[in-house]
Amino acid sequence: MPKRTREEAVKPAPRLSAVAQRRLRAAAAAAPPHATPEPARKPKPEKSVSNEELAQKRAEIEGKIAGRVRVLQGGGPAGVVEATEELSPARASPEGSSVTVAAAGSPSGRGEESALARIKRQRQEKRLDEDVEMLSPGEESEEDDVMGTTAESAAPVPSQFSSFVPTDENYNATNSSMTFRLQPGETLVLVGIYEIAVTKGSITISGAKLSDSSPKQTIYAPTTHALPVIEAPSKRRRDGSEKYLGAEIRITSHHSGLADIGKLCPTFNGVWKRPSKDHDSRSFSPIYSSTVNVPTLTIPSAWKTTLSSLLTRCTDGPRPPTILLTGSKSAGKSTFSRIFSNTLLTSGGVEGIAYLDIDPGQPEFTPPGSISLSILNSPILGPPFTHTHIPVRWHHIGYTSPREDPGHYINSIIDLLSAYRQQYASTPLIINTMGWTKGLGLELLQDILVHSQASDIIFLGNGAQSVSELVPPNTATFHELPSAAVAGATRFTPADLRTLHTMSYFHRQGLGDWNFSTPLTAIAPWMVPFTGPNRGVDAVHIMGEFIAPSEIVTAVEGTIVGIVVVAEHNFPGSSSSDVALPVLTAPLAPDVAECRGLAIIRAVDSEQGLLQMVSTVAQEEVERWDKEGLKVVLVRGRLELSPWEMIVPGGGGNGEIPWVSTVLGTKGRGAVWRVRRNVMRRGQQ
Amino acid sequence: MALHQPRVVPWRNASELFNLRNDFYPSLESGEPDRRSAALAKVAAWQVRARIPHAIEATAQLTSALLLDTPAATSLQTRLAYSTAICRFVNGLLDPAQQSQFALPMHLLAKNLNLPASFVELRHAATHEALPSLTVLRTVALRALDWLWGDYWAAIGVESDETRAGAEEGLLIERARAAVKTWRRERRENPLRPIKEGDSSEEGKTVAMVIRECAELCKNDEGMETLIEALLEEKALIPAGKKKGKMMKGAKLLWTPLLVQLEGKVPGFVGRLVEAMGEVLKAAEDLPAALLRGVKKGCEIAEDAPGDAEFLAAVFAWLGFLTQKKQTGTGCVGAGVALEELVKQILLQPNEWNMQLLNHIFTEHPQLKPKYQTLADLASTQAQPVDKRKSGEKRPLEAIEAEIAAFEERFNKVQQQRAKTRPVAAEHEERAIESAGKWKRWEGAWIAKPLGVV
Repeated sequence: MPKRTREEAVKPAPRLSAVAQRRLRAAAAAAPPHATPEPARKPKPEKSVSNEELAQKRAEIEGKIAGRVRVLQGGGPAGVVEATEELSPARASPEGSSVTVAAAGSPSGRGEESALARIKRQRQEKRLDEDVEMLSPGEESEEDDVMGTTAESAAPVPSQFSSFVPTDENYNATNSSMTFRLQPGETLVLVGIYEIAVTKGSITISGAKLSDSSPKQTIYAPTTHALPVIEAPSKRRRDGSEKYLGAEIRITSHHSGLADIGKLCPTFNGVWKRPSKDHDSRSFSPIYSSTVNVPTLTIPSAWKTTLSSLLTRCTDGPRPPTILLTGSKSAGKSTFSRIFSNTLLTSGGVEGIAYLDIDPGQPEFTPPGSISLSILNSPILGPPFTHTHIPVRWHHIGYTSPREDPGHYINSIIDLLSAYRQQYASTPLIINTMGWTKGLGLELLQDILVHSQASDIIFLGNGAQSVSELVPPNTATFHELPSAAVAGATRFTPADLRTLHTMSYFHRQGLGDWNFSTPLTAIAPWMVPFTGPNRGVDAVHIMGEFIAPSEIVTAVEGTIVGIVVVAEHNFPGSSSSDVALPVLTAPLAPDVAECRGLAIIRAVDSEQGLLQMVSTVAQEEVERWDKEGLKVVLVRGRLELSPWEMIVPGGGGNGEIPWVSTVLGTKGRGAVWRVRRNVMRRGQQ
Repeated sequence: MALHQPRVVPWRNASELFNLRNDFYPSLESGEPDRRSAALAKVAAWQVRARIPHAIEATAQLTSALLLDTPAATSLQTRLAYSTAICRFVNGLLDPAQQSQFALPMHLLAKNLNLPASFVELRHAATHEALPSLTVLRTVALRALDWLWGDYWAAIGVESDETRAGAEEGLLIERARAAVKTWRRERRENPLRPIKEGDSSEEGKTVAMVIRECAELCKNDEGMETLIEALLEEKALIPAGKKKGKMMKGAKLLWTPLLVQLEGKVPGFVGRLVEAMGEVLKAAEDLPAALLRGVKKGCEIAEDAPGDAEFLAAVFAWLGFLTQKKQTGTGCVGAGVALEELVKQILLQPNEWNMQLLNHIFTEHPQLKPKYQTLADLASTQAQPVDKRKSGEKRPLEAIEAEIAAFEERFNKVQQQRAKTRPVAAEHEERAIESAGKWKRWEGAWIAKPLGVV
């Protein structure tokens, strides 16, 4: 793998003397930037000089703060551009030399590849991601606000993440907290989990405006998603009052069980850390600039006009708008809806917002495979898996795409819409749809448009025409907006994110509280009888194909099921014998049945007629079903459970692990048919 | 073994997959029932669990078409079923092979996979041309199943962990039996001959080898269980033939030295043996009480006890022997017996057998009596004489009423006792049994187990 020469030049080889090192560094500094073999380098911005100064200053201050490096003057343009915030103690020479320049190593050790190689890799990864998307059953609904659209715009490294530069005056750190004084217009990016308190002025983060009167907020900023940017407003207030311009914020550590997720599932190791060596006791760290591509979120300026016009409609209009978000995959629908909700909720104009979350592939508030109606009262400050809650009304779709049962999907949406109209009609409604706008997806979208009577349709990304044709000309407004600009890509596929969200749901212990130190296999299960008068589960329903009665247990044992409750008079009765698991063959209609959570049937004890279940459904909730005489049906769709949740970490259980293979998969032979939809024909380009 | 990234598979274990293979491809011997429909049902259930390998899916679809091909179905139905199955078989095989950006010709891909070009041709015809004839479709479907056998199924199960484990288990029991048999042969003539370390006589060497082998077997739980199983067979600890009672004395003489040796090499062995014996007895509630009474008299077995019961009585006699005071002292054979555990087990599942053993233990170990006497009294009311319960005679009403009264009295007593100790016990109980409506939390300590293990 080719290395960047500048890197080689400045990286102190251990055997070199200090003099030699300095000489090398000087040589590197003198080298003109275009001499570096970096084909993807873009033309330097005009502001490059000030950027350099900033970077240098930043490096200086970092050095002081760390107390490890005294910064000497020097460093030509190239050296400065390459300066990163990572100061490795091992590389800092005690007699003081210039800032050590090192490519921050990503956890996967990719830090030292060349820009060209990285771009190639990202292209490759993107392609792989697409492949994975294609193979997953819910691929039409794949959407992630931080993914895609990156390979083309991948900027040369290191990229600037925060415009804020720490100095003695504006920055102060203790063991557990950091205080930042932001000048108007300055931005700051942090990774990790943290609490933010605005002590002076105000800031915006993910559209939410926080001031010194706002309550402390907990922010979840993992590298699985675009990192939120804290920004001090750049403009003077409209009323011209001489208030504090800029902002002072205090960031404190927030130690959450969610940070332990990597312990259970190695895939998510280090998502809460800066992608470089981190030896911090704090639960967060600021990122000023980095050579590693960390995705960050910037709101396209084109959105701002639409956002503000919609805001006015929500607060001043005659009736609250119904805003429907649609668009291609990964265009930023969820991002838009989050920013919109946050802006609206922190502007003080409304009491709450109704949120119709109907993308079963990547829902905002429930684990994958569900759609729901929620009422929001506080801003959403993290990716979906950090704010799973119990919605007002919840339907289990069972699949990550509506394509398996479009009828049930539409009926569920109609039911959620009627719940909204009956109870919350005076609240603005946001509908976040899936990113499937072709074929059947387009037909479904039309149904949703008709039933929701949306007043505003916002289309993000390319290909708006087919959708705009559906919009009735006089009753609704059609807004076409560019997709979210996301710098940097994440290394996670939509399937990974689904796993993450599902795990987060099963390990939650309440809002904002998780336990990832106890694996699911170590949790004492619920013992639920499925026979006799005291049965706690009245039937099992398997979506889709008919399953022979003898194979019902084979089909459901050790899988995720939706817990659906239905009033007794609406319960059609099940094929129950006294011994077998009772089965409901016909699906339950969404207007009489609702989902109350998910469970894992960890085992079926046929001898005793007991289901062993793991579920996070609250005890009071289960008691309520019993008191109100509701029938409990376990609905099996096709949701997948991570193998990491099926095993006992560190062994145990007498060797055999049912349904889990640790033998290396045979390449090719016996592989699952993974569909790929991006194969091109010759002459089709 | 290097542990690879775990992945989810639809089959519970390797043998389930192996069985599916045998169901789809029955052996040619006649007389075996056709299990192909069952195999299709199994595959349908698997598809609810996880995505299944294409080879399995294709096998199921081709088999389904074959089963449909009866005079009951119209020719068109059958042709459509075959065509779809074959198209999906070929596409599912070749599509993943499209690795480049631009599509490669299917013939080329097929060649790389050793798939006959005729399959690709038929797929093309079935998709874009006239629907192929039934004769052609039938032949190709059968050929496709053959191809799948060679490409996927033939390798299934041969190297599976499951069969290897099964073979090992078989091997273990053979080893254990051989060791037990050798011991009996060598020691039968002179059971009192002392066992010495470094005995260079032929017999001494063999005996040392047997002990070594037994200790070797006990290195893991599975082996120890297997050895205990072998020991509890007839002609081992349990004398063969009808008059077991008379032979118990000899059996004790013959086997005690081995048990002593093993306990020395594998501490806890006799304890585990006693546990296993207890389990055998637990499963034997139907043993005639008369037999028990016979045993009571000096641990001798009544001569008229029938076969199966004799076996159990012999086990009981061993239990009695191993829990004797003089056997449980330090350095003796029963030193490793966890008496208190045994007593607790008895109290949890009292029956006449157990109570008999309990009395025996109390006689031998009076120091246990005060601690457990109250519980033992309670338990003894529950352990009704087996023969009375099983007699089938109609019991007089008074007798039943008396029994109910006894139960009620016991219930009250228990409640009173609970009331006395409430402050601590009640709190503890609440924590132990959490329930919500009809859902109850697992009682007691939960040991982490993989999903699917009850």
